[in-house]
Amino acid sequence: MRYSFIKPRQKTLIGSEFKLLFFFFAITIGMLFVSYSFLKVKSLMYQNSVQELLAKDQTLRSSIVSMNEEIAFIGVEKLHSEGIYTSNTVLKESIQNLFDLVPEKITLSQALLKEDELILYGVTPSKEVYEFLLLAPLRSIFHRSYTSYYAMPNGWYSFVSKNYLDRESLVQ
Amino acid sequence: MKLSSLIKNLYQQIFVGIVIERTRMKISVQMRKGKTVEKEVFKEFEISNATPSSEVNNFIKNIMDESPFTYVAVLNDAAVQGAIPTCSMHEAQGYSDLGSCVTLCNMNNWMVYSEKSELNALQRRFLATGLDFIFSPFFILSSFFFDKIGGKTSLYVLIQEDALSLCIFSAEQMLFAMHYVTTDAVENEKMSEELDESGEEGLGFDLDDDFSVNLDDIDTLEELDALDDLDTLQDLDDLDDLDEIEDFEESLNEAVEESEIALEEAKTKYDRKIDNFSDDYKRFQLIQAALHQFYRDEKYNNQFVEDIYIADSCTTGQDLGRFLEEELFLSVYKRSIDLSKELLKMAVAETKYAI
Repeated sequence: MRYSFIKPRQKTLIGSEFKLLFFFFAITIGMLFVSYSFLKVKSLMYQNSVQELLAKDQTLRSSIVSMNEEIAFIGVEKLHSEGIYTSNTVLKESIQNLFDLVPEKITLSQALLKEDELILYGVTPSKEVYEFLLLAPLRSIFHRSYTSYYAMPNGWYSFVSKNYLDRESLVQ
Repeated sequence: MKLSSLIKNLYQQIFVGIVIERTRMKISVQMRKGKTVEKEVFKEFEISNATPSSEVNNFIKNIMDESPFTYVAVLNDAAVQGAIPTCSMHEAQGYSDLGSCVTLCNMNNWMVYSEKSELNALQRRFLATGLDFIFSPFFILSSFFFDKIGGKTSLYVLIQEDALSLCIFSAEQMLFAMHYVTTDAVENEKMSEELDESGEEGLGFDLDDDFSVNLDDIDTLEELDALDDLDTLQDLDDLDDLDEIEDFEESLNEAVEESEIALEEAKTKYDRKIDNFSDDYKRFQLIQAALHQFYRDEKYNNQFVEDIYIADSCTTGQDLGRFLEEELFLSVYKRSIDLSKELLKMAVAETKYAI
């Protein structure tokens, strides 16, 4: 049962001055917290970006390594291709020289060109023609030359000429 | 234990009980921790027009600064207030117009009411400090005579300096209640008129014997003997004795001043006695008028009142009791009441409804 005509005022532990003080403290703490959060987020973002950059760096380094390897491989390939090109050129020139060597009277039917040997199949009107016109230059190029003749019905000779280069002699 | 109770037990609770009179304000302060009373202070302030002075406001504010749980209770000094022997608003309309009143029901038995505008005005008067409780004098009266109201039909009166609240209880059932403001100018006039007509004869005592100012009591008047020095003037032979005249004038002035002060003191002393008598008689008249109304009005069941219990907050004289016994044939029981402390008790009980 109530005896008072009015209700008592609400009592609070903190007065208006303290409320104001707490309000300003709360604002300050809030601002500090916001600043801290902002810096924390920025720091995390920075760390993440650092991680990403490190990972990217790692990737780039590994890619650089692989690229270097590739470059080295390409260099090797280039050297190899240059070698091939050179050998091809040499071969081409050799073939050219070879065909230049063959006189008009002798007809080649087959030519097998290997690294250290040359096998020629052809037809010559006579052994002398072959020996003077073709064998002599071949002997000046190759170290060893072996020729086999086969008489043809028309009096011509088909021949097989095997010419070899000796490695030891080339190195010397 | 609730959190609020725990906090209240940890903190000091301060209760301020204020009794407003026209020219004085009595303030009791009780500082409690839990159920233990740690300190009690009583202070009285001179005020004007029943409005708290800046001194009062500062005193209360200083107290309020000591604890957040400070409750300020004040005794309702509204002119339009009273009690009605029912809690039914429908039935209450037969006793008083409660359209603009705030009501509070007690034990579903009787209610007190007070004019809303006067309550607002009271709160405005204490705007600087604020109020938590406004208590009706009828609740104070019923709680003060809690051990008596269960008995036979009796009249209970709360006498304040500026007001008088009375009610009649029979077996805890309120039958009748009235509230008067004794300083009311119109009432004073009416009372004085009635006093002129029937006062002295009806009371059967001699004012001259009891209340006349006895000039023999004014001892200091003897100092007027200095006037005898006037005889010495005859001894003045020539104007060379002017110094003696000046001395004589000074002593004469001093004697006159002292006699004036003595007269003023005597007047104040006897005026107070006369005022006291006048107040007692006014209160008697009010009680007589109220009883007359109670007996005359049929709705009060015409029960006979034999006893009167007076809660006296302002030390009335013996005359009131004598008037009541001799004129109304009542058995008078008088108890002194410290209203501000009663307010504190009620405020302590009321705090359980506080937030």
